[in-house]
Amino acid sequence: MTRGSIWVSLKGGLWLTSVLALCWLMQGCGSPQQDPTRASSGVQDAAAGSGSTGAAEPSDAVTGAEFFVDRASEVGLDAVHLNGSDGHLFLAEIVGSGAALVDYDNDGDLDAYLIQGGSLSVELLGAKDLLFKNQLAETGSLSFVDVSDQAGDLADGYGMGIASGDIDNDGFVDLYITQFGSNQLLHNQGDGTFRDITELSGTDDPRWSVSATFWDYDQDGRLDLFVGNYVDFTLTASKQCFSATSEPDYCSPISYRSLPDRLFRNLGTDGADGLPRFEDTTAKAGLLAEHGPALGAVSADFNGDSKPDLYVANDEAANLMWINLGQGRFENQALLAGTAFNLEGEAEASMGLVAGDYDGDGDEDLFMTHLQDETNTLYRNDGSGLFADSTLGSGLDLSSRRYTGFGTGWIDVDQDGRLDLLVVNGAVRMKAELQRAGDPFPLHEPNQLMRQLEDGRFEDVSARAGRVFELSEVSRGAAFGDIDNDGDTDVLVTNNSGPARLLINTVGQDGAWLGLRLRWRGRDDFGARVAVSMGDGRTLWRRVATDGSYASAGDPRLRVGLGEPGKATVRGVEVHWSDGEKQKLSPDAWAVGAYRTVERGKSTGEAGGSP
Amino acid sequence: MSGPGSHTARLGRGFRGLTALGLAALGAVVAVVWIGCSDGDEPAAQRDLWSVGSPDLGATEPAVRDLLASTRAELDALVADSGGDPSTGLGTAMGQQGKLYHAHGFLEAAEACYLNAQMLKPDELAWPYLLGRLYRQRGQPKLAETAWKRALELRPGHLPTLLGLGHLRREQGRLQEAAADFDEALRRDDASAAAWIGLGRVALARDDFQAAVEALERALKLSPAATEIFYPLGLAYRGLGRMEEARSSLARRGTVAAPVADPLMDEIKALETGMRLHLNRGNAEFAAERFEDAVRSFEMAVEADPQSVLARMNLAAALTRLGDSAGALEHTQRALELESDHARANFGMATLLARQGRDAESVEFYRRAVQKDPSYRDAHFNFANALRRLSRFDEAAEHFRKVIQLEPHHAHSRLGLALSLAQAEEWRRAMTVVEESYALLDGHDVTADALVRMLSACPVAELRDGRRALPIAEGLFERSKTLNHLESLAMAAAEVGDFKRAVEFQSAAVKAASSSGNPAIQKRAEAALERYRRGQPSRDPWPG
Repeated sequence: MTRGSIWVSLKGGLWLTSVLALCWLMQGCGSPQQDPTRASSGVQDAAAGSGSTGAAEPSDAVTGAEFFVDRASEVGLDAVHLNGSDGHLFLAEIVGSGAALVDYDNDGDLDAYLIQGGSLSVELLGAKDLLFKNQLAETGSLSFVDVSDQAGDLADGYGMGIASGDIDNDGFVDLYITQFGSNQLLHNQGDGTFRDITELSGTDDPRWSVSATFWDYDQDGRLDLFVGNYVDFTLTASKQCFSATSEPDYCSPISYRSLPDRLFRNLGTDGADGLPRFEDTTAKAGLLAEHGPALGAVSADFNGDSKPDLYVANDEAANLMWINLGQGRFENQALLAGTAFNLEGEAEASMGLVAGDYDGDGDEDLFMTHLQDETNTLYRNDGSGLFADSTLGSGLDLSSRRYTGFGTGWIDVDQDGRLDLLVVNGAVRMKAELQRAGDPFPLHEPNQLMRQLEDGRFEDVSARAGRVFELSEVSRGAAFGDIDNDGDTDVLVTNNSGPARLLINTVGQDGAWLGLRLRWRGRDDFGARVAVSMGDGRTLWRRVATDGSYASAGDPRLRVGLGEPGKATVRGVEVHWSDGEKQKLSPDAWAVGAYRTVERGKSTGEAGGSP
Repeated sequence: MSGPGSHTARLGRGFRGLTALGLAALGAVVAVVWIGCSDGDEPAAQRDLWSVGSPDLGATEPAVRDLLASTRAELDALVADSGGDPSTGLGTAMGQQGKLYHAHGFLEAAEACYLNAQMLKPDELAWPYLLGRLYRQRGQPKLAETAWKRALELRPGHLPTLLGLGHLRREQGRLQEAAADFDEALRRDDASAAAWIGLGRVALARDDFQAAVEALERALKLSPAATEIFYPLGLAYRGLGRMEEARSSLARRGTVAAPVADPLMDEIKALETGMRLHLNRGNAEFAAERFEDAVRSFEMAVEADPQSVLARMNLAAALTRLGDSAGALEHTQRALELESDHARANFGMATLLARQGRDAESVEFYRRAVQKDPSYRDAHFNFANALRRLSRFDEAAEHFRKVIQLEPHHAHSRLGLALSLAQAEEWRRAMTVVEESYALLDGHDVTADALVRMLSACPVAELRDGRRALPIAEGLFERSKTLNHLESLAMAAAEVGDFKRAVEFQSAAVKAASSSGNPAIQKRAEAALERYRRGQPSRDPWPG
């Protein structure tokens, strides 16, 4: 990425361009673009890095090549986030932004939508988001072209996060963009362009939103929308905060009042224009009862009653677990479930989160990322919706205390059937050692890859995960998906005031895998799960979702790692649709080493499997 | 200075990098060169001391900068004069400087000072104990453990060290060792609630829920105010399937820790200097609802910087929470003298005046607050209420609308807007607001009550619908038995012509009103009762 290409990416107009250009030239505007070449400079603690858990050190470490390589620039994905900081230390400038991997043009490969920030210096001024079209389907090789100017309405506020889902079941994925200020709902018109239907659809929220998720909470076949709101920070009422050494620093969210979240119910497309309308059902659903500074949200069935629940990760406040009671009503049961606070009874600064069955017992466990000096936390589900904080001794505790985690995802990096974790990091308070070194943006940290071992513990394999893990950046979003359609999971990582990274998985394609796309009512059936019974007695569960991580949206397709090619035996594949209906797949409905689409109601799968 | 290990190359001979092994091997030091604190001078010395770098104080508060710079200069002078001779008091001076650095967040400089103090005064508990605290704070558990082991060698049974070590090991999953630490602590002091809590947490981590309950209940008996006990106790009850006790205990979760006498750490806290650090501490205490502690911290912040509007406003807020309006007013006035357009100060002043019934004076302060910060929700809301009380209904409605724009589900602003419109006799617009709010907020008590009253007593006949109002009123009273809801129920009964029930409900309301101690409320209730006895429904949804 050259400096000049920042301006190519900017669509905010001449005035913004000149302001930002001035900031760039002055180098005094707070946070110049990160230097991607500098090495990690986290706290050097001989003890902390050892993953000391008191138990034996991991023994089945994988060997061989690095897991990921960054190919963003090589394949034309040149995008730099602009946070617009000018030295005021505005809280808003360090919270964004995310990205989405979506096949917006239904050509069979994942495209990249990147949320842009903007300027906060004189007044709030957003910059247009960026859309990069993947040309894999057309050319057979991975490459991206910036189609932001040809894609119609893209969001243009000071962006934070994104949710993806097909709100009108027309087969084209739609997008909801959260912003510092009003949000935007972009309807995919099916011709390669989007139309902003925020006002028409009734889905705006003028407050500061970060997370959002599409989910069919009332199970009427239409995707509804949850919007997680953060705090009532405004540029005119920004507070002064100080570090432990009395130096000016970014404020924590407790300096501000948290904002209630929002729930919108999809009313369908009965109007003449064929576009969906939504109604605000926050109160009816009971979601006004409690709130906190929300940064993450994920929908899944946590108590196994075949109704979608919702988990909301709050920053330095109790997290919420909205259990679906039916009839459109919810109750926060996080306290009894054991997921409001960590094992110590402390509210952690939750940022990103992900739900998945990491221990193969058929229920949804939770993992969430936190502030430096806190652990990232693993909550293990007992199947009934009661959780235990299982972080201690998991290998996830000490390794995470050094950094502030944001985007994260369960991914089976090496296709061994066990879910690993990728965590992207970046501080929110000045890092003393970087400040002392004269770093102009002293928040950067390296990212981490945690590989799950046979005994269910995790090993920090970042040191051999690839050179991209040696970089130290202010990472925020992480969108997961199979960008090159080779059957493994790649990652689009966004960096605050820095370049996006495209982490291509270089080992997964060598393992055996099967891929499924589960569709019902003309769209991906969010919440549907697949159970793959293996010859060794294990059952591998994967769930259809695009939400989770941090402010990002991922690939709805499921990938199941089966181990070494030729050695794995699959005994059976069963789909559990989002309403609980089960369907055993016939052997011709799935295939090792290929994606298949399963449409509910059809006895066999179809060839292909575009995302 | 980025830790004693970071200057190895620059300092050359005589300097050893800091590692866990190095720390453990300190007793075997035989080198003879003193490395100067600030500029790398190498005067001859009796011992090999750690380099204490000079922290960058450039962005710190002047009070902190001055204190640390002056004490550091004194230390450097002492080092130069003493030649590293421990008999000169150098060890104590090093330790004191370490404490100052520790108190002000300069942990690497503090670490080096403590290491030197430990080397020069190897028999003093303070240095390894504080080193352990420092390493724990910095997320370095192995170094913390090594330091605390040394502290225990010097003072076997030192309770804060045993407890610290126990929790350190527990957090690493070394449950057996952790249990041994807490057992040892209890052997020294079996009335230590903190040690019982530690033991309970270890049992919980082992899924030994019965043992956890026993230990934690014992801790609770010893220290009933320690609300930190309730969360693990709740989880332990849950593990035993005692779900009601689990719910009850979890709901009482708090952050108040069981007391542990720890004079060494108390000393560190007492050394904190400057407005900003006192402010940080006060903010944390305020957030934990420890308002008396917060007042103390904010007072120290004000003392450190009397010109700080931030410190004064935070102090005023904490004093308000303690009911000290006069004190809050004093500091708010001073804050406004310092910065007349400060949004929070204007809001604070306005609110204090409004509480004294001085609405007419308050509105100008509210106006300044919202002018400075147009997104100030609470200021718009209080401003609107004050304007309504002054019968300036149009202006009140404008600010209620602003709140609704900022927070669509704000029920009381929706009620306030409806009341403002009703008081301006714009009944249809008031009804529209009430209906919209009732639908959006799904029968929220505030909007349900407003709807009942409008449907029962609106002067515009076609807007009334007693039959619709009555079941809503019954449901509302069923789930929330308040005087207001009782009166609304009576109003609805009267509107459908059921004056017998209206009188019955309103009689109960009069009885409740009499115990309120507010003559105006009682008078209003009695007037309504008389009306219903006469067979007349109400035509004022919000009488009085």
